Amino acid sequence: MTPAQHPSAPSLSRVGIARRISQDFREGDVINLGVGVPMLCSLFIEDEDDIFLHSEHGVLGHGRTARTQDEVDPSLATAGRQPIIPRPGMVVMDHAESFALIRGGHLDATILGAFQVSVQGDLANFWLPGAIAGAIGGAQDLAFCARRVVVAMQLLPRPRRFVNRLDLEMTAPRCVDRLVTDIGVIDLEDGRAIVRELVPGWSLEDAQRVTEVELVAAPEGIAEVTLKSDRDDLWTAA
Amino acid sequence: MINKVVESAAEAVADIGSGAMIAFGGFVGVPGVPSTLIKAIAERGLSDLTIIACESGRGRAGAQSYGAGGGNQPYIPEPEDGVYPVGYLAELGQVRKAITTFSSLNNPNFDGPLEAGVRRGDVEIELIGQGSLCERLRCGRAGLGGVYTPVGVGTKIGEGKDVRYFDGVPHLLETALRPDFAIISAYQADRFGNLIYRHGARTTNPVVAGSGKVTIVEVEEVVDYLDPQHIVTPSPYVDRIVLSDRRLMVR
Repeated sequence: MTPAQHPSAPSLSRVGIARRISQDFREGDVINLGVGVPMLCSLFIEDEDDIFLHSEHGVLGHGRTARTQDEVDPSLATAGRQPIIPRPGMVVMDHAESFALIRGGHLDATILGAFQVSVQGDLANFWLPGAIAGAIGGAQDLAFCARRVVVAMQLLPRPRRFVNRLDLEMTAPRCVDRLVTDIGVIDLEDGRAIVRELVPGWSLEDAQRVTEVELVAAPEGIAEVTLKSDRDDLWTAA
Repeated sequence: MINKVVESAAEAVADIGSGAMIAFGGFVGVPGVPSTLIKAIAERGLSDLTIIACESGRGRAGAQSYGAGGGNQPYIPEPEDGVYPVGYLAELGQVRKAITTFSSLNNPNFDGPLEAGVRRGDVEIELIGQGSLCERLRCGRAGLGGVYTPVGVGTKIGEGKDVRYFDGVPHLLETALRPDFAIISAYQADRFGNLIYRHGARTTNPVVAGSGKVTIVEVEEVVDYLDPQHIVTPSPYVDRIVLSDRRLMVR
């Protein structure tokens, strides 16, 4: 399948995808953000939201990223190596405890990047063809055990990201609940791809040209993606 | 009078020989990585080591920053600032096998030191997720044979491992790791070997502590007294203490 691009309508940027994902967070949620686009979700979380970000090396409920070198404590960073500052409610724990939290189902959601996702919800994000060995990190524990798995995925202009069957080595089977993409929001339910939202200017037919997976309109209708932010880097021009 | 403080890192690691299995504490990047001890082990010029570490994909040469940061962004020290990551041992050709969660840079165009060894045919990598790696080490410390975890069933990581069903869910057996040496870093120790850690530098260090037949810790400070209610690693797990040559957290 050749990469598709909509001729006229803009799509979500990486920051825009993160903004849309973060709009699903609720007060009290415990959420792990993976490296890459998921990490950008922290741009949209304020202290007063009481959302507990989890870094798998054992930091839960940290504050915002450090803004100056004076604020940097070399021992306090996210798993993606962003320096962060403490805040009331933060807790540190060892790595085994951190993964007990994950495996025991105490995370409300994990936000992950992916090389490939299948319509059944199978996730591939640790081994690229040509590499000698993969980088599994904490992704397998997170994907198997978090209560909700959301994947941030750029579909444009990359082919074979969202597929009927994985080509790549699988991280975890049937785990992905929701794809938040540059063209819209797709829920994976019982082996079907339910389109909940599309960015303005995109139709279901336009979206269908981007993936081999058969897309199904949500029974309540397809909403437009709306972003609660006035940043100027949320959209990519066509 | 008990005093587990050893004069130098070189003295602390003097009985580590070629062929040893060594578990290292620490996570991706610098905080919590026992850099002083890694450098001292490297200087022994050993071979055929088996290393166990969360992250061992990156050496000192050609280091690629994992982090955000760089430029004018707030910044955490990197290997180019004189820190020795576990992958340095692989870079020197001292490693035969790595049990690890990040063995690579996952970049098809650039091999890390372990990947280069695999291409040469003299290094073996056993890839495993972080939760399972931690539990295997914890089992080693806690006298358990292994644990059943649901993580990895039906994937390449789970191939060849015993599977049992609990409450209808398949779990696979991860067996204990009992390395010869456990090498860790902490913030403060007392002379007995009780340890506390600072923030995210705790990471795998308390998990690796006590898993080895001998545990060696580098600390930023040795203090007269630690509050018993705040001690994270109890002294019986710790055999030797050395002062770190890094001062990342004491400011």
